[in-house]
Amino acid sequence: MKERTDKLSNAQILFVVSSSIIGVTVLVLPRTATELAKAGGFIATFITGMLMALVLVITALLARRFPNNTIIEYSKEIIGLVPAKILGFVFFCYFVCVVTTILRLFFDAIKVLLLKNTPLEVLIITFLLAAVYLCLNGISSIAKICELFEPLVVGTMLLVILLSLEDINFEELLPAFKQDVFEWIYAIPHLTISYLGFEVLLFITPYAQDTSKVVKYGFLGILPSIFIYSLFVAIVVGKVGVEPVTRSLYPTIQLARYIKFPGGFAERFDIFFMVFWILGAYTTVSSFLYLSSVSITRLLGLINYKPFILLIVPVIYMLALFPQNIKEISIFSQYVSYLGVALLAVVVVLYILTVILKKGEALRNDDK
Amino acid sequence: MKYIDNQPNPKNRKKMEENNPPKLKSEEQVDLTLDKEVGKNLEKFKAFLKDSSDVVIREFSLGTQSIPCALVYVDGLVNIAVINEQILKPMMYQIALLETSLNQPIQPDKIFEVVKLHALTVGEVKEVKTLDDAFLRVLSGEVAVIIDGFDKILIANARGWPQRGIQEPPSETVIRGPREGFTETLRVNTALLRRKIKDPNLVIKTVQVGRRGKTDVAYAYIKGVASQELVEEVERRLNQIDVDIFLDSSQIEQYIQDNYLTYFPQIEVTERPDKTVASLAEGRVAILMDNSPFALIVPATFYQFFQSAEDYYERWILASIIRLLRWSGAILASLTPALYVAIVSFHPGFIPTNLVISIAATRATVPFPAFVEALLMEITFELLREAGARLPRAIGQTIGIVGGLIVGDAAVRAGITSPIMVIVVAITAIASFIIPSYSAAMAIRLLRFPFIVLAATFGIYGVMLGFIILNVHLVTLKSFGVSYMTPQAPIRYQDWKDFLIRLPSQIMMRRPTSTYPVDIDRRNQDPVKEETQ
Repeated sequence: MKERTDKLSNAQILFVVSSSIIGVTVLVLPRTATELAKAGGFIATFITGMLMALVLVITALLARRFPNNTIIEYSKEIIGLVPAKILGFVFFCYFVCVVTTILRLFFDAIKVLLLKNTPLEVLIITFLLAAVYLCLNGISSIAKICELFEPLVVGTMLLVILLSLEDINFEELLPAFKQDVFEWIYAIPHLTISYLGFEVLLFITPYAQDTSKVVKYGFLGILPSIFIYSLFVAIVVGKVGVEPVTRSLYPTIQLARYIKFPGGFAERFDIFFMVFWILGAYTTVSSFLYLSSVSITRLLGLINYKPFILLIVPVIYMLALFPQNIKEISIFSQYVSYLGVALLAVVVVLYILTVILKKGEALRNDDK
Repeated sequence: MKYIDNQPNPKNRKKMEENNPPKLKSEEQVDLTLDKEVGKNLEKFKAFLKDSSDVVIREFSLGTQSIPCALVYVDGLVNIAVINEQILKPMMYQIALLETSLNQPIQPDKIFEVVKLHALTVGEVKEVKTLDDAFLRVLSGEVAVIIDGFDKILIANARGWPQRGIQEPPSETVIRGPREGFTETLRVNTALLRRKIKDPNLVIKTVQVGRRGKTDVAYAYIKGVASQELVEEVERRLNQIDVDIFLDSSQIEQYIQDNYLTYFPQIEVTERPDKTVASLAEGRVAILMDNSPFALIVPATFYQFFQSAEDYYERWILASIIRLLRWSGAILASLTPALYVAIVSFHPGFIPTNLVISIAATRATVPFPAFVEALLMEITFELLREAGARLPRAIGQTIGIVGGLIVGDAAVRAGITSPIMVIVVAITAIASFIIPSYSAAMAIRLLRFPFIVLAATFGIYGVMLGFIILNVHLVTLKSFGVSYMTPQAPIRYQDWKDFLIRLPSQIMMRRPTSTYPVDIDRRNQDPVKEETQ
C-alpha cells in the first residue's frame, strides 16, 4: 500500500519554511544587529523580519501561480530563456554559497565550544555526509525531519529565552526609542541573511498537497523566527549591554552561558544549547543542499537530482574550507546576504511581471 | 516492499538431476483425479501414505448391500471417539437398521447424499473432488470418507489433538486486565477474538502459506473500519510468500515487512487477544498463524511499541505518567553510556565541578579510557543478559546474582571500572526493560554501541550526529504504507491523544488517522448498515 500521498501537507510546508529560516546565523545575529543599530537592534531585527514576511508572501504568491513548476522553469515564461538560465545559475550559486556559509559559521562555533582539537575538515565532512543521506531520501523525508527536529530547536531557544529573563536591565534597551530611523534601515540588508531560507518555497510548491495554502502556511512559518530573533537581540542587549555585545564573538552563546541550570545538573548551559543547535543547523543545511541540487538539475532540464548531490558536495566542502579566519567568513557571509537580497528583489520583480503579463494561474481569492 | 529477487537456482536444478531423486515409474505414477471405485482410490492414497505409520486406513462396508467404503485419517490429529460414535457407527450399523425398518435398500446412486445428510452426525462435512484437496484435509486432521461408486470424497471434521490450554501470556503480563493469551491452535485464537467482537463485520479469512507446511494463516479485520487498501495489501503480501515451511509467525513477519535492512520492528507482535482486538478496532489488520501464539498487527508505527495494554485499563493520568517514563527510558537506554563517555572524555565542563571531581576521583585507578571502560561493561552486561535469558529460570536468577553483584563489585574493587560506570550500565539495563515490546527494546538497547563509538570519536557532537542519522533512518521507514514516525513526522495532531500520553477514553472517540480507517468515529456505529455498504 502506498501512503495516500507523499506530497507535503500544510503543516510540513510550515515546518520546512520555519526550519530553513531558523539557522545558524542566530549565533551572531545579536552582534550584527547591535553593531549597526546599537540599542535599537531588536527593532531593526523586527522590522527586517516584517519586511521579509512581506517578501515571503510575494514569493509564495509567485510560486502559487505556477503550482506545477519550480522557478527555474517558469522564469522562462516570464523573462525569456537566456535570462532565465542566468537567473537559475545565480540561484544555484547562491544556494551553494549559503550551505558553505552556514557550515563554516557553525563549525567555527562548534570548534570553539565543543571540540577544540578535532580538525574542521573532519567535522564538516561528517555533517555534510549526514545531510547527503537525508537529501537522497527526498523532500518528504526532509519535511519529516524538520517536523521532528524543529520542536526541539525552538523549544531549546524558548528555554534559553525563558531562563535568561531574570535580571534583565531594560534600561539598556531604552536608547532605542531615541534613535534615528535610518540607523535601523541601514541595518536591514545586513540582517536579512538571518531570515533567508524561505526561497525554499519556490522549489517545494510543486510538491505541496494544497498549493492554495502555501501563502498562509509559509507566512506562519516565518513568524516564530521573527519573534525569537527579536527577543534574542533584546535579551542579549538587556543582559549584557550594548558595548560588550559588539565585542562578543557569539553573543547568543554567551547569553546561554550566563544561565544557571535549575537543579544544578548541568554547569554549562551553552553546551546544552549548542547541542540542540546542531539539529537546527542540520535542517537548514539539508534543505539548502537539496535546493542547490534541485536547482542545477532543473537548470539542465533533468529530473533525477540525486547524482548532483554527490557532485556538489566536494565543491561545498572545498568552499567551506576556503576562508582562513573569522573575518573572511563574515565578509563572505555578508556577500551572500547581499546576493540573497538581490535575488529576492528579482523574485519581487518577477511577481510584478507575472501579474502584469497575466502569466500563470490567476489569483484565487480563497486563502487567508 | 523490497524483496531479493529469488529466481529458481539453475545450479540447484542441475544438482537435483545429478542426485537422481527417486522418481515414480510411469506405471506407478498416480493420476490425481478421483476414481469411482474405492479400491482404486485407496491405491492412490496408499501410493503416497503407505510408508507413514501414523496414517490409518479403515475399510468397511455400508448397510445391507455391503457397499465397500473406507476411512482415511491421521492418528493423533483426530478424535477417535468422534470417529467411532459419529462416523463409523451410523454408517456401519444405523444405515443397515434404517434399511431393515424401511424394508427396502437405499438406491446405490443416492447413497452418497444419504450418508452426508442422514448418517454422519458431525458438525462440519464437506465434499472434495480432487486428491490434492483430500490430502490437505486428511493431513490437517479431518477424516476422508470414501464411498464406492462416487468420484468424490466426503470430509468429516473430527479434529482433536493435544494442545496447550489458554494461559497467561508470559511476555506481556499485566496487573489489571484479562489474563488470557493466545495458544498454538489457530481455532482457539480466532475464538478468543470472536468472543470479544460479536459483530458480523469481523472478518477472519484464511490462506495457506508454505509449499510443504501448508500452514493456515488467518488475517482478521473489521469490515467498515479497516481500510480496504490495507486489507488488499496484506492479502497480496501473504500470497506472495513462497517458501516451504513456516514455524512461527515471526517468519511471516520477515517476509511481509517493508524493509529488512533495519533492525527496528515494523510489525507489532502480541500474545494478548485484548491488544489484538483493540488494534482491530483502530482499523488495523491482525495476522494469526496456526502453531504460533503470536499475532502480528499491521501497520505498526514506532510509538505503538511504547504502549502497553495496561495503559488503557489504568487511570489515564497514571498511564500517561508511565508512558512518559517509557519514552525517557528509551532515551536513557540508548544514550546514557554515550553521554557518559562524551562528557568524561570531551566536555567535563558540562557537569557541575563537584561531580567532575568525584568522577575523576573514582576513575583515578581505572587503567582504561572511558570508551574502553564503557564498552567492556556494556558487553559484559549483554553477555549476562543473554546467558540469563537462555537458561532455566532458577539458574537464570543465579546468573543475575553472580553477574550483577559479584562481578560488578569485584570489577570495581579490582580497579577495572569505576563505580559510576556500574551505575551507568545498571541504568541502561533497567531503562531498556521498561519498554513493553521485546524487539523494540532490544533494538533501542543495542543502539548504545554505535552511540558509544560516536561519542568516543566526536564527543557530544558525535552523539548528536548519531541521533540525526538514526532519525533520518526512522523517517524513511514505512510499515504497510504508513510512515514509521507518525504522528510526529508527518504530524497528525488528532493522533496525539494517544501518543506521548494517553488522554481520557471519553476524549479518544476517534480512531487514529494514520491507519486511514473507513469510519473514523468510534461512536454512532450501526454494524448492519456497515455490512451493506
